[in-house]
Amino acid sequence: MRELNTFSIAARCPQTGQLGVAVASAVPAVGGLCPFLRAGIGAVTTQSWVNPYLAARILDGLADGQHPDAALAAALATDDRPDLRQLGLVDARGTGAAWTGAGCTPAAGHRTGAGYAVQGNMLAGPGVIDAMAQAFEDSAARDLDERLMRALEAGDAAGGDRRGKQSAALKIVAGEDYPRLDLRVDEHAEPVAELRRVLAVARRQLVPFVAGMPRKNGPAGALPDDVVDMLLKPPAQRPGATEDAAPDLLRDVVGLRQEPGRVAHLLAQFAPVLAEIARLRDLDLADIHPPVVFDPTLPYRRVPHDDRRD
Amino acid sequence: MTTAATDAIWQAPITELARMIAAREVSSAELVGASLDRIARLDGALNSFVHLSPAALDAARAADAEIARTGPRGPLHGIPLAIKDNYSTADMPTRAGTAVEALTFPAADSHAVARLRAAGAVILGKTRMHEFAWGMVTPPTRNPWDPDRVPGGSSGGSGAAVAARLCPAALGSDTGGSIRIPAALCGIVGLKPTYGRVGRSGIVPHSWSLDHAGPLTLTVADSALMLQALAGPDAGDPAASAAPVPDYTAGLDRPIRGLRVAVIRNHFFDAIGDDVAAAIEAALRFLEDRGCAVRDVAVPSLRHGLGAIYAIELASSTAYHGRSLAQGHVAGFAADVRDLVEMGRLVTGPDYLRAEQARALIMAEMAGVLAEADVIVGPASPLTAWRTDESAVSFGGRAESVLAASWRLTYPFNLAGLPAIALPCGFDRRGLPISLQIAARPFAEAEILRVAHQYERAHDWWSRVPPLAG
Repeated sequence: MRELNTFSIAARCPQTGQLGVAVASAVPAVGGLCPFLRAGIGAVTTQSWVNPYLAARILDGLADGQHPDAALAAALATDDRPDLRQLGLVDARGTGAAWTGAGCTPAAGHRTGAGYAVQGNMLAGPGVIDAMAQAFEDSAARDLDERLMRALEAGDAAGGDRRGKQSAALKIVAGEDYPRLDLRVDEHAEPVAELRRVLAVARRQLVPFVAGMPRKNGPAGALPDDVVDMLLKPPAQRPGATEDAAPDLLRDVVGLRQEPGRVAHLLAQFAPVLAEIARLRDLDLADIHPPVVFDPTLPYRRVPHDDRRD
Repeated sequence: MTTAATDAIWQAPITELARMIAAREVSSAELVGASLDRIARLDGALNSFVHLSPAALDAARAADAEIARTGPRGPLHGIPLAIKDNYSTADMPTRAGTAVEALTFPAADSHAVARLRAAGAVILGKTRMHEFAWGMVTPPTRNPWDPDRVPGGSSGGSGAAVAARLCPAALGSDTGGSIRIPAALCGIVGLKPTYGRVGRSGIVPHSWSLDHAGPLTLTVADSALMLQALAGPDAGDPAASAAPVPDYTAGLDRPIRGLRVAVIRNHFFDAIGDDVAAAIEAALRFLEDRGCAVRDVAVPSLRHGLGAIYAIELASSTAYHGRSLAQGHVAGFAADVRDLVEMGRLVTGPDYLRAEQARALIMAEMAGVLAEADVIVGPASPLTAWRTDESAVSFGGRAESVLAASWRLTYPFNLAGLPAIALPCGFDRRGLPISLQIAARPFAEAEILRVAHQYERAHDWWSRVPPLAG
């Protein structure tokens, strides 16, 4: 049993009924440990000192028609150390529930709202949870994969796990017994940013493939020709390959790691400032030494604080 | 203390209070008591203080005991002063205007506060500021001339407190105008000394090469007294100067006949209010009448000033706040401040150095002006205090945000690092104070204090008390 110091969101899409979990943590391969989803039933994430059986029991409870709070309470009642667990879930109606045991490492907490549960432990601060919830609420018009990704990015931007991050995952189920999307970044210095990159590739190359796969209550059929054509190509020649391989200028080069809505806001605010700064670029200043004068003696003239009168 | 003395002290400048203390006509404890009474009575409407020192009365009694034994150390001995909340203090919390509790600052006296204590001043409390000195509004502080109007910023609490006569002087800091703007909007005297003249160690940084420390006072002579106590080397501030500190009060009354006055007619007069323009022209006529040689000049490179200060200030601020950005604390900043701290990322390295090069152009042209002139005189602010619900102004049909307008006339002297003072020079049709700005060569504070003092003595605008001062 391991303590997973994690921030995550479990959510339901009100338009499609899809259920999903997005999670990031400072352990490898968090996607294999925390998210448990059952199409049409619920989405659960189990974290802190992980007990996977609790997730399974909650899903069984939800399948039996229990309210999320009741399913959560019943599962915790089977555990001898509920104080060490953290769980978040939504059911198929979008009702959220969450639990943060008193023994979870601070900052730890959770927040539930319409269609989601956000939770985390060993966080940089309580702002992580609020930032994630806000990002989810602010993106109601978007698809669930984008909303989960933004919530994770907002948590990441707000500090996330205070030891840094190592892995991230995004998992969504729709109507089938296999996931509609199951992406993991198992070991990476910037797992959330990497997950965003993988998501961009998956949207072009994987989602059309999964959309054409056999369905539970329909003919198995064959993939559309364009999808087949795409998948017969080497990955580097498929749509999205070059643009996704190129670094994101703002995120990767400039270091502006805010979520997309926030970046758009900052760019709008910056526009009049940039108009002034851009005019400096047109000047020929080659002969002008800037008044920035390096002084190698600086560390040698530091002496203890001097507040004598002259 | 007589009743007349009680009535007199709350309106009196430091020069007068120091005389009364030396003559044992008033005690430091009485001054501190009077300040605390006024704060209790008036600051509910002004919100200028964020913290009051529980040790102030004891410090005043200790000052009184020492003065009784050996006389005052100097003119600040026993005088109650307020400190902007970005100066760290040993006995009071420092918040720099932020509500983010995870961010803490050392509980040790900043250099300037230590100097004031060494001069015998009694530190009354900490004044409200725009969060991290990144703005000209200072919510929720209000202007003592009209509670519906802003006090300016970022040293808005210091401006409102001194204008309302809650204390005779306060410290401020000035990165693009943050001492002079609240001084202008509140009708008091704000001095931004030469870059490096007053040590900044222990002040929460905003933009290293633009940050200046300085006083807000009722009169120019008080400004000189404060500067005298503050100026000098600071081992903790790599930018602090070891240049000799002259006697700033000695020459205040020396005639200004023959002094060469430059008026930068571009930029400083391009878009200013009618009442402001009239008051400034009247002040220039006064200087002419006193025998000054007033001459119009131009500093064309000021058209690059806004781009330069934006690039430098944004990049510096984002660099300073790196930890808060990485740890997510910026989410707890006010929305306007968070935007600025985050968008500094968008200023590129070459843009920053190009801004420094443009700054060199402005510095060189200013130096050219000051090779032919002793002081530069003009308005400190194109507008008087704006309403808290106003976001834009219009000059001659051209709209400008109040925030953009408010620092337009002050930031050139942050870019150039020149000493500059703002002092009252009249009132607009609404009865709001108008402010004159005087700048000079580096370390020529005595020159601007002299011109300002003589203008002030002939007009006495400072002695008008705002309505909210009760």
